[in-house]
Amino acid sequence: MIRHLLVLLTVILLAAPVTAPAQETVSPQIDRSATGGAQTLEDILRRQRGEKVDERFRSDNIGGDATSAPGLGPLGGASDPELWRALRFNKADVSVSTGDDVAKVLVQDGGMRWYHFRKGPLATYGGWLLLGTIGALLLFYLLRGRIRLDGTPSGRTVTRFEAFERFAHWLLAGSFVLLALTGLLTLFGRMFIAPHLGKELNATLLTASKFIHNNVAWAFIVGLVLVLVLWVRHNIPNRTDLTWFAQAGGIIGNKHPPAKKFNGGQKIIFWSVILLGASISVSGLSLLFPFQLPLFAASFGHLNDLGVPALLGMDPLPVALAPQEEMQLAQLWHAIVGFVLMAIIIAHIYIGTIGMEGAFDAMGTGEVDEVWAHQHHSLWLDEVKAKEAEAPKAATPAE
Amino acid sequence: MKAMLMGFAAMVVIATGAWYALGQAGFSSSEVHSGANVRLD
Repeated sequence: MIRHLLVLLTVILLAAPVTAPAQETVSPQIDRSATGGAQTLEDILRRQRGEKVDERFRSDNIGGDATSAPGLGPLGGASDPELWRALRFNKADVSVSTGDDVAKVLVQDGGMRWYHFRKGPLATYGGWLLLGTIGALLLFYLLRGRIRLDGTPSGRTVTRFEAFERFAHWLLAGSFVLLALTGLLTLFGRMFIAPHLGKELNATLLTASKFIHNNVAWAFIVGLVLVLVLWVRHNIPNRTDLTWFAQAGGIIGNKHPPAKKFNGGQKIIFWSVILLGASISVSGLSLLFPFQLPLFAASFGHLNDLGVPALLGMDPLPVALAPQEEMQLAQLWHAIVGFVLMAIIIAHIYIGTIGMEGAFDAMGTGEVDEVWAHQHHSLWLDEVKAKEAEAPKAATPAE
Repeated sequence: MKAMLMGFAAMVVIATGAWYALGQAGFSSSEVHSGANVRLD
């Protein structure tokens, strides 16, 4: 399941940046005959203008010898540019005392792409996604107002969630909120906190955020597993959900569609939390144990084998990734999926608190009024009532 | 509300336990990504 989600989200993640350059006009070929195939002034000017330069004339031109360089060969000169070019494109045969692949990468070419994507599109679109979600909910609240209880409360309550269910929910919820806040501080601290409140404060917040984020992650994973085990059987989609969606969950208008313990909307929240939460957990583990749990080269290989990039009109995905590149992709993935889940959870928090009268009681005390239960989970209430009716009979002692 | 507080308390306990256990088990960055040739202090 996790593998499939990773594959799906990888395609989504990669489709955007890869399809964008395809729309750009292809620059005409540069004549490099005058330099013997080496870089020309036009290459430099194009790069300075921010145009895309096909680097293969350099990256694929590794390992030449000085004898082919005019004037150097007869003198026996060694060509430093060959060495630097090999280092620049991570193709040099490097020996390091630590002996691992991480230290062998002296210049990591993909690092700048990650750096620019992280502070550019990731922060911009991610930030607007959260602000847009909050704005949309505010607008909804102004237009629709709070969803009130139809009629007056009966005063009789039913147990909606047992204590252990609420414990698991709050373990997951508390850890997610902390992880979200510390994640946002880590991404946006340098942009918004350091310039206005000072680098000292930002550094302190980052240190604390890192500690909290790394360790609370385990509580999130435990909460996720508990919630999955407790509620998965109630969240299998069925035909009742179609009715629920057909009536937009009763949010628009005054109808209350029937629902069991979890309605169609709650099932979407549940599966979003489980699938996106699992994906975040996997990429988070990869980041927690740097360079030890690489995910992307293998995933890209599977995608290539399945022919997914070809279906989308893309070149095969790279399967030879530097260890640092694995970490960079894991970080971007972690943040993108995190942003999507944050937006969903903001909507969940809204409807569970100010958005709907009586909703918070379900997770607060665990007890909900029968009128509320009838309006929002009528089929579940019928089941509870049926069980209650059976219970006294079973408990009657034999005489 | 007791369940909520218990959930938050468990979060703190798990996080503290993870920090202590992983540190004790030798998973700190300084132990994993350094050797005798690296001086961190």
